[in-house]
Amino acid sequence: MTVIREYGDAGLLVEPDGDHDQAWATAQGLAASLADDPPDGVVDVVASFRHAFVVFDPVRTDHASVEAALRARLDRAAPTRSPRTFSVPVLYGGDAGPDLADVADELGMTPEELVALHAGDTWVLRFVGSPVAALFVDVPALPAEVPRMRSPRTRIPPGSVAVSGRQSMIYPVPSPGGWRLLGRTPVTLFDLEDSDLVTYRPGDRVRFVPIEADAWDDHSGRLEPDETA
Amino acid sequence: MTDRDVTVLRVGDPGITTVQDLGRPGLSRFGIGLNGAGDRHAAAVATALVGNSPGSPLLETTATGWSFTLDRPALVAVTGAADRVTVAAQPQPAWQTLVVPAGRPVVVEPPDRGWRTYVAIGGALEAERTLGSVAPDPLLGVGTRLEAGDDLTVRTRFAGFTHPHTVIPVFRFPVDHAAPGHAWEIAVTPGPEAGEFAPDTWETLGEFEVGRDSDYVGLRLLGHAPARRGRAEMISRGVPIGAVEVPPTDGLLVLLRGRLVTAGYPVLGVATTVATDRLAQARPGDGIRFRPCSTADAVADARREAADLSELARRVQRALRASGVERLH
Repeated sequence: MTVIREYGDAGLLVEPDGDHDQAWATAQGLAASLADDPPDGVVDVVASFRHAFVVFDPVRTDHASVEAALRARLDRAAPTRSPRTFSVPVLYGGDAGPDLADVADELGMTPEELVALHAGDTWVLRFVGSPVAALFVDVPALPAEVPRMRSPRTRIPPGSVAVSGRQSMIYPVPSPGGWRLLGRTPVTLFDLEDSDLVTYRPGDRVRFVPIEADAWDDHSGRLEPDETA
Repeated sequence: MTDRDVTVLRVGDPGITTVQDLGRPGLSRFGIGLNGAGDRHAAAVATALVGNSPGSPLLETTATGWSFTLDRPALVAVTGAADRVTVAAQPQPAWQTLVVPAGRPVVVEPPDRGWRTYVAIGGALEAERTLGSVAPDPLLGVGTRLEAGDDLTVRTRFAGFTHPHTVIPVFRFPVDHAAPGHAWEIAVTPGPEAGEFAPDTWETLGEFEVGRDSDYVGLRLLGHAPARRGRAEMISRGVPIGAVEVPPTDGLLVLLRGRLVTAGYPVLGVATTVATDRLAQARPGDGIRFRPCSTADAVADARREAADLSELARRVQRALRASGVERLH
């Protein structure tokens, strides 16, 4: 049974039924449906790994009306689009990834093994979140959940590639944040001049590709999907 | 002459002042947060008092005072933290509609209590928009911060008072507002992880102090945080503005309008819509106490405030039209 709970006087938190993949698919389908055809008073939705947080104007509608509208849409699937793959060049460790050694140690592996794991497969892009255009992926290969920083950093450098739990993300712009930093990418992830803002969508695939420091400048520019064969 | 005359606002002492509006709603799918005026109610009252439509750009000053002059007479309203305002060195009321003569300095003194002050000018204040809003967003790298000597353009229909050598207190609107203090009671509804804390948690929480590293993203509250049962790492998910988070270190984080749209700390409670505006007025060193509140009461409070605001906006519009200070099209 999908749980829908009050989340402040202007929000509801939807925790869809089912395993991780099903919950994610339901949350994304709900978000797409709300963006496409918002019920009266619904102003925003944050669909993430397995939740949808729905924001509404409590002056125009109420929790019960919005919950009823959400339940009526739970079985709607996200629009299907054939996934594209994005290869993200990453300079791992050193100043670019100050937490690499600590996280590897906590996971009982060497930094080299952690890089090989993180860059060793293609991950599903689960959602686009904050800071602006940040992409979030699941990394199920992580052998244990990685704890966040006990106290978040106040400024993370742009392009930082980070992990927490069994997830990974990229911080596209300087930002505060509590995830652990494994490396940095030289690519830019969004363009304010582009009406599309970002080129990737939930359901696309992400592959991290290790690079050497002297190759940093070769990889600058906007992140584009890989050429399809 | 067009239907809208240009008035120039020249910045004197800028303080820490930005051009604001009500932010960028509905862009969470790109990870873009709301931002906009920290105290939306104070901003909305200032906007209404000068007859502007909701969401019109205005000026938000944080912590400091500021000063400016206008090259033509205009309607001005000051709300939020500042309570000492002078026009041509004469004290004038905050939370009221002022008719400010051309060339006379308007000085907003730094507030002793509260944190954010709003100044609205009757007419359309011009500033660069990004994704539909003038609001600063440091993560997007956008926003307009005033500097001494800046000239801002206001397109106005103001038509009154050809010899305005003194401020003429023509208008007197009933505006209900609580004066800020140094101790704040913040109403909160239960958060999704409330069940992971003792049932009497809110009652046993003491007073927290607003930390110095607080900013537009959130308040860091110093004090004794409640103990959470279990230490499972939480998966990131959407978080509301006003969320009261319990990080693993001591103290609490309360999210403000510049928050990232997802987070992964347990959410003990969520400040109500009305209380979130108060949080934006809490300054470093102020005390915060939480008061548990039902969602129904929180919604009723939000609706009452919205209704009062609509009524104020209607009264102002009627008065401006009747007095003839706004030219008709």
